[in-house]
Amino acid sequence: MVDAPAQSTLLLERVDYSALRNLTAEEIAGEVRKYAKLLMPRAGIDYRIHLGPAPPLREGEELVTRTLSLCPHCYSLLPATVFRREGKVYMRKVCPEHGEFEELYFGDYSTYERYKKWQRDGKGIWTPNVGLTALCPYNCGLCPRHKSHTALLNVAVTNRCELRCWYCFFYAVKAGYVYEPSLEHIRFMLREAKRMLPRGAIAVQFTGGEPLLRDDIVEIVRVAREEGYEHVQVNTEGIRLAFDPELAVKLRQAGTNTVYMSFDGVTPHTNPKNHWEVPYALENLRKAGLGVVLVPTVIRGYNLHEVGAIIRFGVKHSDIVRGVNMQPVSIVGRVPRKERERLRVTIPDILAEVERQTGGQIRREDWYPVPTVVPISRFVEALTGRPQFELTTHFACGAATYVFWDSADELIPITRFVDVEGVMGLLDRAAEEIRSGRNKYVVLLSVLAKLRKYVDASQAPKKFRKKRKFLRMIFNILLKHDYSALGEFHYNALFLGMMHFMDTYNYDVSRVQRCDVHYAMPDGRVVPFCTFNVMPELYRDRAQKFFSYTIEEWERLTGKRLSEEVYVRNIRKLMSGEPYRRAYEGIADVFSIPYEEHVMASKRFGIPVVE
Amino acid sequence: MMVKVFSFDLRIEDPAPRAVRARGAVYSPSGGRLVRVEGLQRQFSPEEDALDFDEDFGATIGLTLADVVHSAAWSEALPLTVAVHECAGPCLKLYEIVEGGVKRRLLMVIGGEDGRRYVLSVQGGASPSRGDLQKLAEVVGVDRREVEKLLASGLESP
Ligand code: SF4
Ligand code: SF4
Repeated sequence: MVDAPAQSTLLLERVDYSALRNLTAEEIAGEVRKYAKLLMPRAGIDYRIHLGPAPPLREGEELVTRTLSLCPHCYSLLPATVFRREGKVYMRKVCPEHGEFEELYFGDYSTYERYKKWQRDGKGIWTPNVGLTALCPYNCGLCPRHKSHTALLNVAVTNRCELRCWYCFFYAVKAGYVYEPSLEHIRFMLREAKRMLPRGAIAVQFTGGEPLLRDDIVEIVRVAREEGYEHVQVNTEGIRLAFDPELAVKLRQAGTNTVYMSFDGVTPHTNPKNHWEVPYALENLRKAGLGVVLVPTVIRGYNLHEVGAIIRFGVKHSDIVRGVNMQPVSIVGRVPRKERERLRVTIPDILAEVERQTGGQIRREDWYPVPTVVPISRFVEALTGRPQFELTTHFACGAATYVFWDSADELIPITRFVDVEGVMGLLDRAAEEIRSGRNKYVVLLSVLAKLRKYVDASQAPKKFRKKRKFLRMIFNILLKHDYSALGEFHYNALFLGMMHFMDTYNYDVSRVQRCDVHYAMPDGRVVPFCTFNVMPELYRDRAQKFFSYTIEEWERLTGKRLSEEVYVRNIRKLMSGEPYRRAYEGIADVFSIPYEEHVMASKRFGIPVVE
Repeated sequence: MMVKVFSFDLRIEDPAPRAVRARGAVYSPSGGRLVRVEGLQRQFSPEEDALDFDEDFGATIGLTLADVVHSAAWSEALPLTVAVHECAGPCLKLYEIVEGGVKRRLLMVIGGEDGRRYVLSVQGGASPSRGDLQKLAEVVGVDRREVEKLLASGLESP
């Protein structure tokens, strides 16, 4: 690490980014790394440490554990008590300055206990990007104590957006600057995350703002491929994809594997962001052969009642929809307790709703926490002798399952014909046998022979039953020693996932230390998602502002006008198209909703309408 | 230079079960030998000691303050003690750690001229490379065999 810049630089709010924009990745590395120290959170200014005893339990409460959390008002580090009350898990903490905060942590204690059994920790970071200088989470990152390698790297390529969602304070016009790292700067960030040990990043998601607003987004995807990224995702609200069929083709040709598209519900009321455009985006992605994962943010009292319909929508479009990845709401800013209770939803709450809304076809027990698949990685690692990509997040961060079907009316979760616990136990034992010196080929053969025992083909969807296709896929994963075989798996099933990004109210330092969804920072740091976005002033905004253009500079350089980049929706036109009708047919009766209500939904959300 | 050594018996159930026992001591060179330095024992204070704790155990055995907080006894005094030592020059910390029946020794050399911290982790009966031991010995200013001797006799070393 280069020494910290001279004291006077501390007063700088930003560098002159136009001076950096034409540098090569190597030159950028020489220039920007020195700022990492400068941009770190400052003790006593950005946060305080209050490590007294954790709050005591009250009547009717039972201790689950204790952890460290944050004060939602001042980001101070606080001890927190995690406890059980009436079958749910809560967190309580007390800031000496801002008082007590109590929050729902996990909506069902028995699911908490079931998930905990699957926790597996990673091997840590052998090549940290920063030294150990502060307590967690003020030392990102990745610092030497972080427990999981990067599974998915996020790179924000712009803070511009053509939407003006009412709750967002992040986009360029409101922020007052334009963050838009140059292509070579992005290359530098990709390299920083790729070179890490024991495993460098191999999957990247380009995000924003709206990444598709960048004219060179296709080039950015190409750079990620050049830098050896095996999986490239682009996160979008889908507006551009709806109107530009060529863009989907170009993204695919450049090496994009998946588009991550926001999709909060099946009606204009629940999804005012892109309800009318999604059908056209899907159509264009379909033509381009570019798969998409739908990403609903789930909020109680808002769209929780539609999680089943969202899954059905995914199944209906499964020729192009690869998965649905739900995100229980993360409550941003200072929100009073009553209001939080109205909005808050956690993973078990959504699982229960999915079960109810799919008529019991997808049950709570069909979902497993993210680290469940670690035994696969550990087994492959024992076979190959090389550290493998492994998903060692905290068990409370996410859950997933796969569903299959013969007809869209009958969803069959993977757990109905695969004994997940049996398979993972088998792999755990096999890895242990190899580690203790048994011949690995003998162990492998025995695993392959025993695997049949855990797969009940008679319960599988017909297409698997006939050809034993699924068993073959599992064989392939084990034999090929990598996950490319999963590609085939994806095309025959719908992935259902969930990730509960944290907020300051339910923040758990134990979770963030295990985080494997990371952001590349413009100064070369790599920062967990749940510090980057939860304490934006300390990480995201500080770094982005530092490496940004003023709006005037950006407009001069590009000849564009930021204020003109506003999407105006033509609802009448969008509703009259055939793709719109087809997309929702059989899922939601969108035509029974009066046109005026469509318009109101859009406007209330902040998106103007051509009338 | 103030050097802290932590001793603890931690039992953690959440998010993953762990039971770790650690004992440590500080040695500094004297007349070509490594001699144990006596420290002043006190209770762990999170605000004063947490960063040093993370520095010793965060990267080496994946144990941090957050894990300590999860240990059952946090509500009372933490099951952790700190011995604070005063060392004039470079010195060596030796930890003996037992987890899941596996013993591991951590050798940490601090206070060398380059200001760096050298850490050697030796699991079970493994023998560390001569080169690594030589490096530690050089920084601390003793013959390599002194470090080997310390490693062999462990915390029994006077
Ligand atoms: S979240 Fe990870 S990188 Fe950040 S301070 Fe904590 S352990 Fe370090
Ligand atoms: S992003 Fe947040 S919720 Fe997801 S793994 Fe990281 S810490 Fe957990």
